[in-house]
Amino acid sequence: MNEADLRYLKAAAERIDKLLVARAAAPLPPNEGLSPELRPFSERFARLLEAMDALRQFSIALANGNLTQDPPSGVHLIGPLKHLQSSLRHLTWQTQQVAAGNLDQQVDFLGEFSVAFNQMIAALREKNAAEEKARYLSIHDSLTGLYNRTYFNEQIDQLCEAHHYPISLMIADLDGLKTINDTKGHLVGDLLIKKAAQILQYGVRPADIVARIGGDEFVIILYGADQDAAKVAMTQIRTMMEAHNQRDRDFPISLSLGTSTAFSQDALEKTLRQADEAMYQDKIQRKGQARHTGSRLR
Amino acid sequence: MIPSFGENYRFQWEDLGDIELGRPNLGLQLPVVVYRLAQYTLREAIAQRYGDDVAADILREAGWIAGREFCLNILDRDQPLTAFIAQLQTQFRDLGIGVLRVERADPERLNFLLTVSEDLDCSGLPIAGTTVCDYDEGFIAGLLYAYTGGQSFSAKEIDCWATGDRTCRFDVKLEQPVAA
Repeated sequence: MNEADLRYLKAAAERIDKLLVARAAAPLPPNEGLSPELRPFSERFARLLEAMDALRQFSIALANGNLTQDPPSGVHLIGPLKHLQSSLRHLTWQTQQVAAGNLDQQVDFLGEFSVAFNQMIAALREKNAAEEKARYLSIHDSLTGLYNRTYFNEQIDQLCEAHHYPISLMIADLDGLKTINDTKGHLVGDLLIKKAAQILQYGVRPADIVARIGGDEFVIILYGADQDAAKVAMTQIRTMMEAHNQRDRDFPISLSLGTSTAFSQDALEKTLRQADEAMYQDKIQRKGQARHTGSRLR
Repeated sequence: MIPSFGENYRFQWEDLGDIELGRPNLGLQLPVVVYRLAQYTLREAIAQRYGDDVAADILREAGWIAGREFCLNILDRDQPLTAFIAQLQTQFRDLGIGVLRVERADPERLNFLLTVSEDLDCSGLPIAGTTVCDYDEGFIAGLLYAYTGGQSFSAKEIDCWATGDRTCRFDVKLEQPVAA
């Protein structure tokens, strides 16, 4: 072993000491005078120092939460840390998706973390489902499945903010419900309400809002409908009602209808009142007709 | 990549046959070693006759056909991108293809950095110093071609078990929109 060998080994030992206390170990200077027996070792040791330096830098970045540092290629020593970085990057992406409302994410093969993450997602799904159910119940009528007064009021408020005029409102009142309830019972009364709801729902366009706002009272928002379109909708409902009554003579439906059209948001309240008045006019007229014809639809 | 033959190939999903009918006792599964034996001996035979580059190209094109057919026949293409990826992850896991993860995704530019761990094609191979998942590259490009309704993607493997990495990493980019 010559002098150069001894100097080299001393410097190498210092580098190892630094690595053992997790400090940076600079590359060794070229050792021209190394004996031939030590040269293969020195070449490998130089590669090891280089790999350890890459490992040190990469692991510090990872420990600091820096996932943007791309690992150097060809350094197999950092393979497991690259794998860990890959998993953390994926988890970051998944968390971003969850934050954006996508609860389809699932973590596999990351031990207890997978279990915890998947439990969290399951809990979020349950919470979402409960919130959706609560929201559904808060804006729907439980008997008919139609929207309720709360939702109707929300929509009217939104109409005040939006500018999609003209808008027509239709009020529908189920005639004779109290008599039916008193004479045939509430089950039959409820059945008539459900049938009336179906007729109204199918009588208008899918985008229109049909809401039950009282025991026997319904309201329909006909978006973009002027007076003529509102009349068409009313005729359609009456046609469907007659067709129903032809099929079901035991429990016929009688709906009094009234519409009015708003051309600006200022007129909405007035329009609702006018539709109500029109509905009462229709009711009076239908009662008169019923007296003449002896109909039971009273 | 879109192979020069595009969608004009003769293979159909039905060509895979009714495996349940045909293998009532041995079933649908088989060991990974059998799959690798088929793929790597096929690669060797092609490479012997036409060279390594041609063998890689052919495997890539075969992967593209497989990825496209897989998407058309197994996956729900109507899902939005993130749900589609989640579905793909589940299929990869359940079919034992690998553990698919997304490191980066740009849904606007349709650029992705994907990783596949425990990869069917390469995990556990001897270190050769070069990537070997040519079939996977084509598979990913073919999948996305089908999902996007005909857009061309490049999928380049940048890390592989065969280069000494634990995870295969694919840099996936939209190449060019297909002419209408």
